[in-house]
Amino acid sequence: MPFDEISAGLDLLFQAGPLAWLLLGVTLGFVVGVLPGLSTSNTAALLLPFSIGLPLESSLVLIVSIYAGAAFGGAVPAILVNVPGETGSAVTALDGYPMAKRGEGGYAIGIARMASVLGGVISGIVVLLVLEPLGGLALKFGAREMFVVILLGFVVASSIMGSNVRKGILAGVLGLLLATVGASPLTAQNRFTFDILDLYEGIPFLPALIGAFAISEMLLLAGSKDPTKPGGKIVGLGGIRQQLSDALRGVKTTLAHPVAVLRASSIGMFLGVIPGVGTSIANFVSYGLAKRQSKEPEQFGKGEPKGVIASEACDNAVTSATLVPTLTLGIPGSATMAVVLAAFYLQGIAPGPRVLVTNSAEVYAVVLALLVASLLILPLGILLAAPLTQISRMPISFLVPGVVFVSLAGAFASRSSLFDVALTVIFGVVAYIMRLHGYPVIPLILGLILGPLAEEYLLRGLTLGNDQMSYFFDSAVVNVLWFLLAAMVVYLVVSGRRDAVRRRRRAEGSGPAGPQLLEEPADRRVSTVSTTAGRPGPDGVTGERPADGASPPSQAPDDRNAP
Amino acid sequence: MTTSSRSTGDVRPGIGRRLWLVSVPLFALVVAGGILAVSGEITGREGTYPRVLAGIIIVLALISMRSDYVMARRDEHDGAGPMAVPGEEHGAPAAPLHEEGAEDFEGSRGAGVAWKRVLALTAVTFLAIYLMSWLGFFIPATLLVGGGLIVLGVRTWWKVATYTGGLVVGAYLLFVEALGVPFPPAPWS
Repeated sequence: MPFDEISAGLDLLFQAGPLAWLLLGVTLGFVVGVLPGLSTSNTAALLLPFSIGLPLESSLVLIVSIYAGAAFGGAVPAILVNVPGETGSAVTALDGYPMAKRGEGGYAIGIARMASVLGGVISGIVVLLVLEPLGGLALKFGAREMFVVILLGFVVASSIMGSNVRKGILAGVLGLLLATVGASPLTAQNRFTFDILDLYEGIPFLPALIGAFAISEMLLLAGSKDPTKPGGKIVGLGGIRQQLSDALRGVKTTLAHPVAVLRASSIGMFLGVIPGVGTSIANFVSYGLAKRQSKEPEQFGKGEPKGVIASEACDNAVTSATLVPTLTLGIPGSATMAVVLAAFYLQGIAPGPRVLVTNSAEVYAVVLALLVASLLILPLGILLAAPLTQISRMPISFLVPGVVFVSLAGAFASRSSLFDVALTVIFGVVAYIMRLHGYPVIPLILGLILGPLAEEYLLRGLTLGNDQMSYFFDSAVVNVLWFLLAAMVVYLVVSGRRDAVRRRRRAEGSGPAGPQLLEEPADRRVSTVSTTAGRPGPDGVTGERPADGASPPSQAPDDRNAP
Repeated sequence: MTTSSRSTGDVRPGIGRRLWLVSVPLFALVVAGGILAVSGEITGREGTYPRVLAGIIIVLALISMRSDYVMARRDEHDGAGPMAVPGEEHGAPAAPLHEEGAEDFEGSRGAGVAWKRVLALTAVTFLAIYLMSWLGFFIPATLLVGGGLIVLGVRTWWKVATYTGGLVVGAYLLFVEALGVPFPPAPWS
């Protein structure tokens, strides 16, 4: 175990500055999680330009702690209002909301809170243990291997973060192409700058990121049916004594089901390591397994505490696990991790195999920050759950102009450039249209961020191989990676076609409105009022609207989980 | 822009709707074509790399244009309803495929979107950005927030004034006074 590195990470984290940002980040995460319409990745993207001025470790800690807070925060409106604040919490609503209707809302939140803490802590500890061996393995990769790893990451992200491989790959390659704007990596030739001075350093990915995530999201909200309408009716939580009592009951119930917690955390860890899977799919898998292994599966969906545990422990376990591919390979495991990746780059650190050598203290500080943030959910969650439920009623009409304003301010603040502000809105509009057509925007942004690196590895590999492409097939490791890449492409194409045929058959068989779900009693459905549900996420997929535990999850892997 | 027909299926859509249905691959095609056209002056591998990427995009975009169009038409024919075109209020009626609990095939393609609101918000945002180079950051920002609220249906004047004033003054205090971000100043300062 890398005790020295962990100790260095602890030293970095346990200072007044980073701890204060951690506290602020978790609190902000709660707000974001509770607030339908504003995702974790959007908020992280909005904060990015302002975090540049912070010390390195504080900046990274702030971004990742939002992630942990939001993972739990989304459960509160899901339970109380039946409106998931983030898509991962949609599964929590399946049992949490029926509990709230029975007058056990506080108890359900107590279970969700403790399960979130345990899932986050268990997963965080495992990540601390596996980071070094996995990082060591990745260190054996040279230029050609890294080039293939980046391609692999693109294919995975382009496909899993969207419903259609072709659309994802088109978005990803477009991002790679846009990344070639500016000075070339080897000879600094000006490429496609059209004599615009602001483009000489390339298309800045921060305005692109803010535009693609936040502005497009706000445009989607602006186009929704009734932006002045507040969220649903809130179920009361009672006084502070009642809340403490509910919290204690929640802790006891969660601890009484250690197998359920471990199972959910394990699923979260396993699926979270795979880039792009995200919480929504993992939570559904966890919930489905918990239901299948239960002695009383018929209780699921009617207010079963184990259903809440399955969702929330898994949710927070995914959060930590997504750090693994992000840090060791430089491939973000989710939309928020794409922002974390951007935060590293903005601080001059390139996540990937060498990051554990060059910046191990910062890396371990980030993992530890997620772990501590998970622990903070318990006290902060008790203090803030009741007031934060009121925030979930904020109408979209007030949210949208505020977020657009902060987006533009953030875009300007990064380089003090009005060009960047305009670029933000342009990327926002492009991403908005992409999302309306089911094109995921995350690959586009990944292309912009990783494009220069991909080109550099490719050109370096060509130099090492004397301009022979055969060099890229000249080692066992690289061939294994090529095989994985090919297998992934074949799998995605085949499974994509199979899914399309299945969906079409179902649509043809049951009519266009999907009556099997519409026939559910209204109170069993998860409300879509003011949420991302029903709108395409940055992954290009419409947010899921689960009506039943057996309903298949739509792919909305971003951590809201649905940039 | 208009749609040629609001009925499902058999009538060929107008040029506006056809362009909308393939707008994303069309955009990619234009970008890639433009880059390919001006890439001649870049020498060596650093010119080859973007040219190869542009070539890949052109192929993918052409395939996507066909697939997106066919898929959209098939969804229309299956009863999803005609697709929206930007500029029309609410586009076409919300496609039943995207009602609650329904499957999503290819994103909403704009069906059910309140386009007037989206276009008005976008216009207010671009206007504010244009004015920023003349009036500094915060005066156009006031227009942006206030205009945004009105566009999104807030009609109570004191709510518009309070929220706009609070947000802009709060942002000024945070960004300029506390964080020292050098926003473009107002002309008189």
